[in-house]
Amino acid sequence: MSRVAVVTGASSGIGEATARALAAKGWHCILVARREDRLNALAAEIGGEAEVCDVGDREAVEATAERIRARHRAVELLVNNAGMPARETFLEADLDLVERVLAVNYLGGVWCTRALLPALERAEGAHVVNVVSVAGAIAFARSGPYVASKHAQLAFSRCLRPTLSRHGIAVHTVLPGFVQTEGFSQKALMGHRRSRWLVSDPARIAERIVSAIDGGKAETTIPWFPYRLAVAANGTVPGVVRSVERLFPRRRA
Amino acid sequence: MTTPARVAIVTGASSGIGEATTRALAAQGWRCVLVARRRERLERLAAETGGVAEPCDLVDRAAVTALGERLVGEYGSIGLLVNSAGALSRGTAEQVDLDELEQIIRLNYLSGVWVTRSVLPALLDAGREGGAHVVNVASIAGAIAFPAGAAYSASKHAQVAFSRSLTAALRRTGVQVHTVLPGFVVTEGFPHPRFWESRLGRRFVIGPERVAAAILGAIEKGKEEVVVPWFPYRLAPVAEALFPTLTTRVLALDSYRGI
Repeated sequence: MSRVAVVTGASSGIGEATARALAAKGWHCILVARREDRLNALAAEIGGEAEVCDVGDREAVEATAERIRARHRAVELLVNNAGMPARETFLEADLDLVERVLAVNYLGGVWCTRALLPALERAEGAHVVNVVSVAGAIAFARSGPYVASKHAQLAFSRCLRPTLSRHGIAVHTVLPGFVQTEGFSQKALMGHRRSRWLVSDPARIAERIVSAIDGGKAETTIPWFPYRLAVAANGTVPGVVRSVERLFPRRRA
Repeated sequence: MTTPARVAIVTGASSGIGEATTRALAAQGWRCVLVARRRERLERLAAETGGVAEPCDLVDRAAVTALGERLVGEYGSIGLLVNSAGALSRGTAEQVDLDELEQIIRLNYLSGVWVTRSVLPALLDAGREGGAHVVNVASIAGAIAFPAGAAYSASKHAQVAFSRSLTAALRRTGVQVHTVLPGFVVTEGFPHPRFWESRLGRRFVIGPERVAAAILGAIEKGKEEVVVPWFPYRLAPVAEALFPTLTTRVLALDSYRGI
């Protein structure tokens, strides 16, 4: 019998790539996102199930988790990947967006984890992957509300690991650098030679997520260079990386 | 003719670090607007420090925005905002009540965003006239994850990110942002259990007056980020940045579960 994985934000980007990579390794994937047509197409292609759900809505998450638990006694893997951008600074960002981004990027992962915990505990050795971002460790001026939501998610993910290890559940924190996806366009960075090398593609991230699970890695920064160094430098001397931010090409609204 | 006193807004002013900061600011001639939930406490402190009490429930966005807009209209220029309101939440990621988890991030992170945004025009005005300051009183739990207080750590991480991001966004506007990260501070809202009362534990604990002094020092010297007390807390985020997994595991040990 194949192992069951729940992947949120599976309709595109890193979530979609991760679902494909998991299916290729024999996982049975339950795809969670808002867009039904996308999910159904992917589910048909990789032999998984689709669950339409907005992870920024706590009731919807709890109802979805209940349906999943009714169909599957145990869940071996949860990939908290759903996320949305917010590219304004804190001076101009709409206050509704500030809350929405916090709900989707941080609270959604908390709700999914807690709601699926009984099913994860029933598995013999389960995994939770939190797809954070380098923005969870480095506070840029642009994307302020996104950065804050990712900081909260990173802290929660780090806290979760020692707590869940007592139940035989391994928590893996993944910090991708810039990734070109449908939801997170990197057009501005891709347009310049001096910044293009900073952008990776979702298939690469998916591959590393799978190897983090197999290798039992607690925390992975992808790609390692230059992002792991940036995280270490910023933790040591806060603000040092931010001072490079103005050298990046600006995104146009 | 004497120049009118500069106006400072202090949130969470009814006790702890907010109260101590209000007293220290008033002693330096600031006219403090005290914001918190408890009216009697605020009125007593306002009378004592020559300030103004503005009771407000900071987790209510509409109330915060309305208050902020009224203060902008009343004072025009606001020289200092101290976002000090906050509360503690104990419990691991598995135990913490989900309503509490939401409430704590609203108070510790979002309320600071709302206050700052609603008085921003008055801060920018003061910034143009000779300088203004925003102080965000976070916590060392905003720079390093404590598994025994998962929701608290997450909320404080968000607040630190807000503060650092705001620092960069306000550069060259005359409004300076200061992020203050206290270690363990004993206050009414943050009582500390056994370990911190032991002879070893007491070495790591300070009173709110020390934090108030650090806030005034940061404003005076233009420091962007201050950890108080410096030792041993400043070392913690460095350890986490270099060895995140090991650091969290050490902090999850039972002897440290008292936060």
